[in-house]
Amino acid sequence: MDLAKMIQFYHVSKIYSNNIHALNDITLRVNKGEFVFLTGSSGAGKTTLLKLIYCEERPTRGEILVNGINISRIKPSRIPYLRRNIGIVFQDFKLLKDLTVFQNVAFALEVTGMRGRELKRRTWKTLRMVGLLDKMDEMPLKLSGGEQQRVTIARALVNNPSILLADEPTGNLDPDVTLDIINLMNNFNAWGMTIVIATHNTDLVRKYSKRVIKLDKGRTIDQMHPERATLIPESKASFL
Amino acid sequence: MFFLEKAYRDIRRNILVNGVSISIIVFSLLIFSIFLLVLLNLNKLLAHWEGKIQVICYVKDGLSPHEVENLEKRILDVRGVKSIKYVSKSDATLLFERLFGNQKGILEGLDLSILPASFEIQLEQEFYHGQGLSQFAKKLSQLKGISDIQYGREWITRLSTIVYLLRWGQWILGGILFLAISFIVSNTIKLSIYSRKEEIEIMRLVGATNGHIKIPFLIEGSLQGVLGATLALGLLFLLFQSFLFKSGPSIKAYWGPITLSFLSWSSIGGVISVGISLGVLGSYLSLARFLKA
Repeated sequence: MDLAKMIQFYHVSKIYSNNIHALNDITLRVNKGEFVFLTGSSGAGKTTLLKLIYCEERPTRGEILVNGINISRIKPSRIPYLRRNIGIVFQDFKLLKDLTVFQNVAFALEVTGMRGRELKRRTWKTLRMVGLLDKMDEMPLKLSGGEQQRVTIARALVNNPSILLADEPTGNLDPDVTLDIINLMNNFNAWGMTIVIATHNTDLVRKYSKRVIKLDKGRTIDQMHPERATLIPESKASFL
Repeated sequence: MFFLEKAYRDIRRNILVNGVSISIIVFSLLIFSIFLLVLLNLNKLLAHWEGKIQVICYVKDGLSPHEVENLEKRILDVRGVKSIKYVSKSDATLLFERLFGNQKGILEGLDLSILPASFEIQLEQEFYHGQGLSQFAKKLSQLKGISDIQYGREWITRLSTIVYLLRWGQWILGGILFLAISFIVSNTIKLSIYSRKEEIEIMRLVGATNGHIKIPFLIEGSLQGVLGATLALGLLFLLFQSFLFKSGPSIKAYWGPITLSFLSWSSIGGVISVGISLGVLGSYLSLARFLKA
């Protein structure tokens, strides 16, 4: 087992029951600690590819390895434990509107069986990391879009996952906030977290010197490193 | 403990949806309990009427006490006899006089010695129908020393038909009612779980095991069931008491010695168990849809 490889796809295809071919013979690799953009137009298969990584969908053909584990054949009862090692961020945040910011983040720890002081300590620490400690008692709907997305990121990170998957995380945010969110993720990447962001925002992709996997009609059409000239200045980073 | 606390928190968080679910459970179980209560009292009334079924066989005049004793033994040998009571000629006279009470004067001058001695026979329940009684009477008529046999054949046939229809009808009606209630309650719970679809989805995505997701919902379902059933029984008790208060005297006049009774403890336990089962089963089946993956 090569420990440098975090996510591996070998000839993976996904055909939905309505005979829609979402992914066709995809082979790719994401290394440990890598930051990867997954791009392509709507319907290119970005969301399906992410869903295959966190086992929301199973591949029709091919093999997928996450952190050395073949998840194409993983038992359903093992999926929750796999997901605790993968943080997931969505475009529509998926926050529980009747719980406070603190409760929304602590929710992800509660399901792992953590209670009491350790739960509070970890939640506070993560909220401080995303810059929301002062808003922990607010209800999500009282926060701005960017702040809500930070809560989602905190919830995704509170379990210390090795991988962070984000499906159009900035789709509902304005450009400045978008950069803040991506910079935040960039900082977590600097600490060694593997990050995969699905986005159709090509401008955003061009601003970062990261590997890009481009999908079209369910196939990988390009894997590239864009020019490094458009690196985000360090001062833009809002984290820490 | 954590799951109980979580279930309690979740009920409070979703108080409106839970309130609607519990109300529907209350009214469904109330209808079911009313049915049980009516059935219970109707069965009691029928049992009382059935208890009155008896065959009277008149003894020929002039039998010696020894012959009467022999006849009694032979009657007891006939299949279906539960108990037997001998009414002598003098007993019959006394009964007849008692029947006229204060107007005993009417009987003056009549020769009451013409009243025959008789046996009053109570039958086993399996003979409580027209055909059974006819066969029984036929067997009795073959015995020597019996002059006549009397039983209200038409009335018994009618009663046994009613009892038969009711015994089967209660299962059919009860079954249909139970199915309807199960359908309503499980769908109500399904709707309340659907309203929390997003929460379940998030729980799954952050790595909750199916057990961790299910247990609080099952506890919630059983709490809804217990609460719904208890409230339904409480309401039924109030309705029953006010019914007794308003209509008690007229019922007593019509039903005679029968007193209306409330559901037994075992029936109460049954209704609560039905409430819990529906709550848990409704939650379990609805959750199964979300937790397939």
